[in-house]
Amino acid sequence: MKNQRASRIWPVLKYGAALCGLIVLALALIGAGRAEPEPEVVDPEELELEGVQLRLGVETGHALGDPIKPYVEEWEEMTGASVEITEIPFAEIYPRFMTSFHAGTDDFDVVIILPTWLGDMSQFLVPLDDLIEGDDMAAWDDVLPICQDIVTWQDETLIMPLDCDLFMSFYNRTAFLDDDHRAAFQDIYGYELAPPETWDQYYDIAEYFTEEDPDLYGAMESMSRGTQTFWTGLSRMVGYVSQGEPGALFFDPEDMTPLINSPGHVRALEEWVRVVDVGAPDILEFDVGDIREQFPLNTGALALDWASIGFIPTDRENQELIGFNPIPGPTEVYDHDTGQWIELDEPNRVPYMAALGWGAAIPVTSNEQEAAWQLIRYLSSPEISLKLVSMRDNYDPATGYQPFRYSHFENVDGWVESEWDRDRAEEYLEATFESLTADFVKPDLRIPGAFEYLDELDAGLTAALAGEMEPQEALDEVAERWDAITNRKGRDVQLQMYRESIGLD
Amino acid sequence: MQKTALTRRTLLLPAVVILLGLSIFPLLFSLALSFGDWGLGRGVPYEWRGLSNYAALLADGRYRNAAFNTVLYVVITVSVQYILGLALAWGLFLRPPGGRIFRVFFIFPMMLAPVAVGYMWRLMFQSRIGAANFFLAALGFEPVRWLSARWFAMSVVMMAEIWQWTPFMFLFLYAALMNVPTSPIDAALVDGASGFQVFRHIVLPMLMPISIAVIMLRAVEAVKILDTVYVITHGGPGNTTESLTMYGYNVGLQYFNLGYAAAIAYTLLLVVVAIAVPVIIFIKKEVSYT
Repeated sequence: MKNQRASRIWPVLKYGAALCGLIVLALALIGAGRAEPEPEVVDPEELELEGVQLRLGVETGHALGDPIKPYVEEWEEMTGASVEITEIPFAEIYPRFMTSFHAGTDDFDVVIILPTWLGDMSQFLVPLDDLIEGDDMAAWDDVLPICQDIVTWQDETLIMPLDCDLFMSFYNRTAFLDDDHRAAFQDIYGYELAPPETWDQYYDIAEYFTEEDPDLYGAMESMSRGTQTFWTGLSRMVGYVSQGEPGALFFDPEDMTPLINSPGHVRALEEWVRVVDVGAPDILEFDVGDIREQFPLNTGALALDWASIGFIPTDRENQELIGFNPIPGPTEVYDHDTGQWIELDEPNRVPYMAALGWGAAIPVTSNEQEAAWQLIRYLSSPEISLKLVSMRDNYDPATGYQPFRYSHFENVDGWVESEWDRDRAEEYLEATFESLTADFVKPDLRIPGAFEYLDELDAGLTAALAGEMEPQEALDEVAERWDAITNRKGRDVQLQMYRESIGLD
Repeated sequence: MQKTALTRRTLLLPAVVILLGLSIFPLLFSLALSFGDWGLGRGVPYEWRGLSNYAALLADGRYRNAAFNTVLYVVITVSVQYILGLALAWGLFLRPPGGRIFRVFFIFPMMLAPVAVGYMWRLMFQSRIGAANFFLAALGFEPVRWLSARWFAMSVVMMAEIWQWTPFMFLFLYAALMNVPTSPIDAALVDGASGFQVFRHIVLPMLMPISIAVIMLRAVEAVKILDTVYVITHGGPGNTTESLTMYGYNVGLQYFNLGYAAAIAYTLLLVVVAIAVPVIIFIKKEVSYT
């Protein structure tokens, strides 16, 4: 009986073992194939994508949607594919993409997103490492290391950079070179009128122009709710609380206690609230779009923004108007460990990578991932991205794309070809490169729920700026809500993600 | 007889299925969601949390602020809409010259999309280039920061709401006025009653059922105010002008905290039911033309 059963089972086992062997062999071959990818470098003109339709989601308007259109059209002509561009306002772009990702709907083949959202979006995006490796057109080694780091999440590259963001300050060079203003300013404040190095100088200059020049507003900054005001706030706060050490701006890296209501943060906000009285009369309603439209019209003395308004005017004339200056800093920094203020010999000008920089990613739901990658590598390629960041074919008042490749900084001729004055291009590129390669450059928040944390900060900052709350009260409330978010999402998980994101683990 | 009942039920079945699918299921699903959390699309299963979402609401200052704002929006805008709507309806009821043209003009705002209305009012009250400060300056007043101070910003939102939805009140009240029986009015006038007395003691009581109905309808709609707040103030400065629906929208579709958003939505539903049910009962039992 036993033998009979064994004789029946044996053929099953025999064929089963053979089948398992075949499966293991196939998997091993597939695994071996994956381990050594064969990079495929294809010129877009040789691609056969006739009839392929891609859907690309991007922020609407001058800064991001419009500048890429000429190059997307160029790619369409070369490949025969078509690209349907969906433009979405900034306040809606994160929820729009996340709703699509959460629902698992195949709405986009390419999304242009911010790395600060990777904590929430990473699981919905295709890792690009295998595609990037060895791809001459993607030219990964040409991307600055800091701009590589920010698009990497848990050892996977999920975004191909189109931009690397840095917050800057700007000054009206024409007004600053005016002899009458220089003399008057010297008389009143006792020092020379020059691009501000400290926040005190920034305030003095804004106050001077508000009171002495009826044609110029003292300062222009984003201060209204829902318009990225929190990034202006963090760019101001960073110098008060950090000399570049990790974990001083957002949370205590030991236990995720919010640091946002520390004396350093509060003093930064108090200083910022004072600017309301020396800014444009409607500064509390300003968003970055207002700054980019008004400042190049010679209406302001100082402004804070990404490098977007430091760019050339739409008519390529009078490029001397806008002066470019790294962000000012305070002369004291708050030490979280000792609870003391440290006096410094030099202003603490910490470059802040607000928003980190827009880049292109592929959702896992896309059915056209290969074609999507072909479009992305084309847009990010050294040749096309140089045109993008130098506004070669862009005659709008601003662009949201800033240089992120070594070749962007080395090829000044390329900027001159985009009708930049050589001196202006060199000044801009030198200052940007120095900031992006500084040891103490400060990246933005990159953990799950970053959008929610920053939105709560936006509420606190705008309430204080409008005088609805005292700075300390507003930031205490933000800290309380940050704690609630951390608790809801799981303190241990958030702590681990935070430490990874700032390079501590 | 049995066959007829079966046929009737069979014919009703598609409607019942659609109702269950589109209305009852989402209602029950969101009720279940409000007692837990669900990581939609992230592979995180539904997690039962009992009353914790509702308990958290009680301790949530942003929720209380949004609820308070919503009450203000509803009470003030609906009251003003009713008074203005009634005044306009009474004015046209008296058949002034050009009344027909006004009747058409009065209902235009209601036909616009709330988002468009929001942008229009935001532009009018923009501090630097808006018409409001232009006229204030012409009269010698200092410019006002309409959109960046809580009470001014809320008043702009309320004005936009009142402008858009007063026509709704007007339309219903005017139609009701046109159907009011004239004999009691004629009798009162013959007895020497003044115009105000006729309005106060005869017309207004006869308009009571329709008044309660339109106030209730508008209140239920006004509780859901979102578009105008979103466009005009984005809830700011801070969250000071945020409404309950806007908070729910932020929590659900911006922060993706679906359970908590469902709890917010259910508290809103309770408020709507609390407004609607007594009024419906009142209309059914107490009020009649006779």
